[in-house]
Amino acid sequence: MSRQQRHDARVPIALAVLGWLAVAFFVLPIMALVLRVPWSSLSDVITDDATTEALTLSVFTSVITTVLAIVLGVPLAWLLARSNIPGRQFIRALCTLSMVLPPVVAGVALLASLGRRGVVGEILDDWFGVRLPFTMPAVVIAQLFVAMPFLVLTVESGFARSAGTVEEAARTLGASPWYVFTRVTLPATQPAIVAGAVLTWARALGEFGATITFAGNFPGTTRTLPIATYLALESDIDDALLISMVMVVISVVILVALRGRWVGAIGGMR
Amino acid sequence: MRPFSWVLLAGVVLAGCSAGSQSDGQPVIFAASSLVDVLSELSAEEAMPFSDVTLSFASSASLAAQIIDDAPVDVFISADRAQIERLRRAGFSDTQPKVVARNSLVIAVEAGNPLGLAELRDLSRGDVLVAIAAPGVPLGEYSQGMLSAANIEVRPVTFEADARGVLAKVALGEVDAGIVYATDAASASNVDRVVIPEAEAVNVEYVALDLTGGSGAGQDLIEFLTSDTGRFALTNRGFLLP
Amino acid sequence: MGWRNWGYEVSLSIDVKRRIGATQLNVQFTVAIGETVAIVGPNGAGKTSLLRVVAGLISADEGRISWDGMVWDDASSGEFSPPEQRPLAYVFQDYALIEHLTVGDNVAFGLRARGVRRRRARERAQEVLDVVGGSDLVERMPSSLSGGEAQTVAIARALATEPTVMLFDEPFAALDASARAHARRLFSSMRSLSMARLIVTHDAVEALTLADRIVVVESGSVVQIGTPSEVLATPRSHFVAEILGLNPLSGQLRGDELSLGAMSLTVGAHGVDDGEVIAIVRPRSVSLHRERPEGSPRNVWRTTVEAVDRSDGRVRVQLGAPLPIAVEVTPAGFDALATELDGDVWASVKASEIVVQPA
Repeated sequence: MSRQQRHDARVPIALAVLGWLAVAFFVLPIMALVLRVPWSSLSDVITDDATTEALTLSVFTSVITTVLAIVLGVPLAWLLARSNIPGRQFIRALCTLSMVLPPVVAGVALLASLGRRGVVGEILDDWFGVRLPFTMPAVVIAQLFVAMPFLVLTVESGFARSAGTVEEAARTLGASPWYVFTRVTLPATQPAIVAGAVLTWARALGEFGATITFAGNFPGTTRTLPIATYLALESDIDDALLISMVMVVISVVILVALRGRWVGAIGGMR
Repeated sequence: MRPFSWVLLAGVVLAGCSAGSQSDGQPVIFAASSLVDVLSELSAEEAMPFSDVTLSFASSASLAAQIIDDAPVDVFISADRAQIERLRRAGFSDTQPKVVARNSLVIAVEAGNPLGLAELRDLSRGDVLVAIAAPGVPLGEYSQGMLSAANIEVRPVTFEADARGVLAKVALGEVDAGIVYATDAASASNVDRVVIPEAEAVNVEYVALDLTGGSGAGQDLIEFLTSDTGRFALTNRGFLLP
Repeated sequence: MGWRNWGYEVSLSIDVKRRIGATQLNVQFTVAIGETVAIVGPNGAGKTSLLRVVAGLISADEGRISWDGMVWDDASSGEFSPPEQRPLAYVFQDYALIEHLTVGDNVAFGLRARGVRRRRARERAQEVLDVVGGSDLVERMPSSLSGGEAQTVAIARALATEPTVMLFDEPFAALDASARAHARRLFSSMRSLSMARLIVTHDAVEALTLADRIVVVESGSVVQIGTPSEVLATPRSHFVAEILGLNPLSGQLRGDELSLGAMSLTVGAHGVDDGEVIAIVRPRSVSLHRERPEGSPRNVWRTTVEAVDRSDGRVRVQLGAPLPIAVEVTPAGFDALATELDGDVWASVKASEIVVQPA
């Protein structure tokens, strides 16, 4: 804070104090992490095959998850925001439940449904010989399950806000509902979709509990960066700190690259 | 600033302070996860001096890290002698560590043992999905050590973070077998155990370290575990005695 | 698309009922090709809902809508054409331009939606913009347009698809004076296009000057249909009179004596029973004088001038007690009066110029 800022009488002091307290609350642990990390061994950890393998897997799976979340989540958000399906509130609650579940429980739920003995998983195994647990798709499924609600909720509020006479005008100009959706509604909702995608990606990148429960931990196929970090905590804390710094750096780079332009839409403003 | 905000701030600050000190009166035990059942049972039965003890369970490595970071604790029971050595190197060397229990390894299989697994070598069969603990965690090291000593190569589908993770995968039927501590397999309801002779060579020791500097309380707790009552509770849960 | 006239009048036929909230819309009328019909009525009368039913944005509960024999909406048979299948265009009150498209792409939108190739649609958009006086707007974004420009673009976008029915919702409501003038010129030039036009408005001057016929809607129902002169001559509701600036007065009628509380007037021949009535005093039928006029002793009263409004070559004078009505005189006549605001004047109205109808 510099002295040159004008006296802004409209910000209540109580808000300012609590606000800065919140800033400290978020920044302090990250700063502490930065200070504690043994930077001298950074190159060892980053060039370590196990780390790069986990990093590659994490980036790859979280990007796939984000793409799938958009493909599935945008239509779901549309249904929730625009359609008249009965029990919309209830469906919304169901579809975002995985957000509040402890991730490990989310993982058990996935095993119970898609696992080798799961309701659907058993059929997949018997009929198609497909076994999801301990595979890379399982990592994506676990991430999708806990992270997609972030996209759905963000995009749903985007759809709700972009509703207006513009879409009706487009209909009267001869556009079919699908044409209106792709040419009018989607572009108008784009900021919310990008914001939701960023949130989803961030959540997917950091996913641990559901992943280790549903997908297990195997180098190269299911050991993501958070799992590698957790296991490193058991043997070598310094390694764990360095690996987590890699995640911090990636996240900061992405968020800064978006320059708050899209991220601003997360909070609902334009 | 309005009085209201001072109250809020004061609340935040006070709440932050009061969580720190623990050691006034109530003894605190940090113990390896595999001791959850036996120690909780002793505490619940109000067996002196365990009646009002505070228990905290986690992996031995993270508990050791917390202790080095000044967590208020009276007794640390580790499943891994390496963590005790780490603490002693960090200056916690007033008293001698004491072995209070031992554990062994078994193969956990689905209830009923549908694949008919009978020996350690069966884990290398192509049709058997296996989970073992990850290298780096004590159980993973013991498991790997046992397999190497027996010269058996196993290709697990997953390296779990701890014994509970391995057990969960077996209990849910996602894998056919997993190597766990004997005590964990004993406490799990829907898995069966396959006892393996190779495990006899594995010496899993639970080492207790008194962190009170030898002043009464810590010593009492450790002695209680080696008393008849403590030994009975431990053997009841599948532990071996030192 | 060519235009067929097989000896009968091509028209938009509207005969629908539709419940919207507390309002029961229940209207029947037709709009012929080439005709402009204005729908006037108070807020909440269901005017916009009527446009939405015609556009197919909502469906009718009962009745049918057809154009040139083609059924758009028939509640009894269940036939219903969605908006994109009706050859119409709808200019919304807020113009509803697509924010992320340039003006050119907005105008080309309807053609693109109907499968016209991008290049051809762009050319056509430019042509239409040229016609409506928006040539230089092509590359602009909607957020940078003024209200008048936005309306010009909205109209261009509607015209680009060559609709046979055009719907306008309050086209002048949001415009300033100069934009209004441009819009009026645009509307009069559109009169030569062979299409049926339906304009919703609450502005009497617009309705009178733009429309061939006026449909007055109150509480969802049609209370009067007629040419502007018919509606002016015999406004059939309190609202019509008020909206047309016609000084509606509520009073008691006994014989030819109209009692208005503070004063009474004598009315001419009428077929109305005694009791509560609405009397209409047309602004131009009232004369103002410096001195008490000679001759007719009835319907002359002394009053004050509360406000004077000179515009469009007319002078509207708001009178004070005992009868606060608006009157209209020629500028020459007003100058001859040589009065001041708050100055006393004498007002007179012929009995035959007062129209009464049951309340």
